[in-house]
Amino acid sequence: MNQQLLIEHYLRIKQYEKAKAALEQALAEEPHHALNHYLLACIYSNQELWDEMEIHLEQAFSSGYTKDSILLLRAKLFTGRGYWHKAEHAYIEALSINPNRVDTYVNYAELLLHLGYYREASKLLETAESIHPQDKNVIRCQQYLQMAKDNKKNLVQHMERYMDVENDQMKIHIQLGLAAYYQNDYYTAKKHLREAFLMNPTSPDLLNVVRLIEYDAHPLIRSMSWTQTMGGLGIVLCYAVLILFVIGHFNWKFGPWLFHAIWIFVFYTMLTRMIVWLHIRLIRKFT
Amino acid sequence: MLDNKANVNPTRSYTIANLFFVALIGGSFALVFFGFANARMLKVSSARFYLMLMSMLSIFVIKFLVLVPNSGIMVIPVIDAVPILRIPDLILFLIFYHILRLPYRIHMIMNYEVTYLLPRALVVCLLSILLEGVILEIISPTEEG
Repeated sequence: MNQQLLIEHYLRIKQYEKAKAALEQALAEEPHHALNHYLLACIYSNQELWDEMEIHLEQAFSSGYTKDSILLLRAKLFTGRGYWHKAEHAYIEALSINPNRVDTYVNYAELLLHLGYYREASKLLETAESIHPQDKNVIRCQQYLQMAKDNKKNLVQHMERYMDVENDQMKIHIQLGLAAYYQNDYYTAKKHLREAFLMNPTSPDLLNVVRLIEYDAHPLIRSMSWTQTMGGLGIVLCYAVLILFVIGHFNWKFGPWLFHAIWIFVFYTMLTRMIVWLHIRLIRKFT
Repeated sequence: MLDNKANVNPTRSYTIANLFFVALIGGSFALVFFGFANARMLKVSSARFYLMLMSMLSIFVIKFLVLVPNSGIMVIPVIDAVPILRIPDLILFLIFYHILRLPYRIHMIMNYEVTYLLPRALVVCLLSILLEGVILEIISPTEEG
C-alpha cells in the first residue's frame, strides 16, 4: 500500500525515473498487477520508448485493465510509430466502448491536427466540449486553434478558462508563453517560458524553446522578430518591392534613400539570421 | 475518416514567406509549382485550393494576355518589361500567402518543422525563367511587326 502511494507521489511530482524504479520493484513482487503495468506503459509512452511500452500495455490488458484505457494508450503507441490508420481505429473502438470519455476525443483531435485535418479535429473538440466544457485538455487544444486563427478575443477567453481549471503552474506558463509567441509578443513569451523552464529544468524541449525565444526577444536582433511580426522576411520584402516600384514610377525624390534603407535593413536581418542559425547549430553540436 | 484519404501523413511545409524569393527570382511558374506543392503538403481544403487555382488563372491572364510586351498597354521590349512582369507574380505570392496562412500556422503549432526550399528552388526557378522567356518571346510581337 505504501509503495503504491509512493508511486503516485512520484508521478504527481513528475519524477518519472523514480516512479519507474518503484513500479518495477512492485511488479517484481506482484507480476500481474494491471494498474502498475498500465502506469509503467504510460511512463514509457511519455519517454517515447515504444517497445517497452507495448510489453507493459499488453501485460496490463492480459491482467484485466479497462479496455478503453488500453485502447487509448494503444492509439498513442500507433501514433508514435506512425501507424495512423491503426491509431484512428483504436480511437474509434475506444469511443464505441466509452463515448463520453473526453481524453479520447482530445487525443483523436490532436492526431487529426497533426495530420492536417483541422476541420474534423475542430468538430471532435466541439463534441468533447459539449460533454465536459471545463476539461483542461479540451480548452488547451481549442487554444491551439485560436492561436492559429489569430483570434485574440477568443484566445483570451480560452486562456482565462484554462487558468481557472489548470492547477499545474508550469503548464499555465507554457500556454501563456505560446499564446504570447503566436501573438508576436516575444518579451512576454520569453518571461513565461523561462518560468516554465525553471519549474522543470530537466526538460530538453523546454530548453530548446527558451533558447529560440531568447533570439526573438533580443534587442540587437530585433529586426528578425519585426519581420516575423509582419509574416516573415518575404512578406516585408514583397511590400518593399511593390512600394519601390510605385516610388520609381512617380520619381519620388526620397526614393533612393528609401531604397538604401530597405537594403541595409534586409542585409542586417539576413546577417543576424545567419548568425542565429550558426549559433543554434554550434549549441546543438557541443551540448 | 482516414480510410478514405489517400495522403495520410503528418503535414509538412516550406516557410511560406520564403516563396517571395521564388516569385521574385523564378517568376509565376516556379511560384505556382511551389505554392501548389505546399498546399498539397499542408492538405488545404478544396475551397482554398480552388481559390488558389482561380487566382493563378487570373494572374496568368493578366500577365500573358494583357501585359504582353510590344503590344497594347506595354509598348516596351521584352527585356524592359521583365521587372514590370514581376509585379503580378508578387501579387500572386501575396494571394497564395494569405490563402496558406491558416493551415501553415496550424502546422507550425502542431508539428513545428519546415522543409528546406533552397535545393529544389534553384532548379525550378531556372526552368521557370527559361519557360517564361520562351513564352514571352512567342506571344510578344516583334518590334518591326
